[in-house]
Amino acid sequence: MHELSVVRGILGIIERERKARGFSRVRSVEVQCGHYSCITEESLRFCFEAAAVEPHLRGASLSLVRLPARFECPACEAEFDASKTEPERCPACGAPNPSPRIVSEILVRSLEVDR
Amino acid sequence: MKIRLMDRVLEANDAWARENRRFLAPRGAAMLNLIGSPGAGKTALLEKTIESLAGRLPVAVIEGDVATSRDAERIGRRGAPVVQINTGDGCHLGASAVHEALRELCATHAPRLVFVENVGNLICPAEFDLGEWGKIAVLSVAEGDDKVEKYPLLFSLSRALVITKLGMLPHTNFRMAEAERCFRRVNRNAPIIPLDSVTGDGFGPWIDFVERAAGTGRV
Repeated sequence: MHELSVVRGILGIIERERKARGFSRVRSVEVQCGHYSCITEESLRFCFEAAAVEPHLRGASLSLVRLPARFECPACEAEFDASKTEPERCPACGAPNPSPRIVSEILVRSLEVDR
Repeated sequence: MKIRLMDRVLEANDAWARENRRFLAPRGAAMLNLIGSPGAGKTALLEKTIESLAGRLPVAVIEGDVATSRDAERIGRRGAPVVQINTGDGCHLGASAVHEALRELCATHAPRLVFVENVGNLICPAEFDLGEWGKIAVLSVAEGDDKVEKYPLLFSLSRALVITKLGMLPHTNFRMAEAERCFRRVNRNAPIIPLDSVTGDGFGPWIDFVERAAGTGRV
C-alpha cells in the first residue's frame, strides 16, 4: 500500500549514485525485502514506472526479491528457512511451534547501469 | 555495469526518526506510536488516557488522518495540546511530518508523553519508524482474534498490545487465549493489556505502562 513512498526512497538512492558515479542510463534495479514486508512486486513496479520519468530511467526494469520466512525454535534456538507453509515442528530437535522471525527491511540490492 | 549496494530504502525516513529522538531526549519526553485499524478505538483510548493522566503527567497528541480534523477536535476537547496531520493520499505517517508537529507542540508546551495516533491501518504504519519509544498495537475485540496472525509485522514490533472494547467481548467470538497465543509467537515480552475506554475497565495496567514509558522512555 505504501509502495509510492518506497519508490521515492529507491529513486533517492539512484540519484545519489548517479551523482557519485555519473552513469548515463539505468537498465534495472534489484530490490530486496524481508518476508513479512507489506509490499508487492506488482504495485512496486507500477509506482516505479509512474515515478521514474527522467530520461536516464526510461525503460528501466525493477525486480523484487522476497527473502524466505525464517523461523526460530523456542527450545533449541535453531534457525531455519521455510518456503511456503509454516512449519509445525523444529527440523533440528522436533519441538513444536517454532516462532517466525519477523523481518521487513527493504533494500536496494543492485543497479545495472550504462556508463 | 552492475553496482552492488544493499542500501536501506527508507533511510531518509529513518534519518528523520533519529532526528526526532534527538529532539525529544533533552526534553525528557517519550513518544508512543499507536497503530490499529480504523475503528479500533485509538481515539477513544486517547480520550480516556488524557482524562486519567490529568494532573499527573503532561501529555500531547499528534493525530494522523487521511482527511478531516475530527480526531484533533475530540482530543482538544479533553484539554490536551494536539496537532493534526492530514496525509492526503498517504496511508501512514512519516517521520519528517511528525518532526514538524513535534516542533509546533514543543514551542508552546512541555509534554513528557507524546502520543501519535497513526493513520488507521495495520499494514503500512508498521514499516515507518517515527522516532518513537515504542509502537503500541491497538486491536478491538470486534475485529477478531485472527488479526494478530494475519498482520505479524506490526504485532512483532509492538511494545504493548492493547485490546480494546472489552465490554463487547460477550457479543463477539473473540478468544482472548487465541489472541494471546498468536501474539506470543511473534512477540515474547510485550504486555497484553485488555481494556474498555468507555467504562475505564482495565485502565490501571495501561496507565502504569504509559507512566513507566514516560519514566524510562527517554531515548
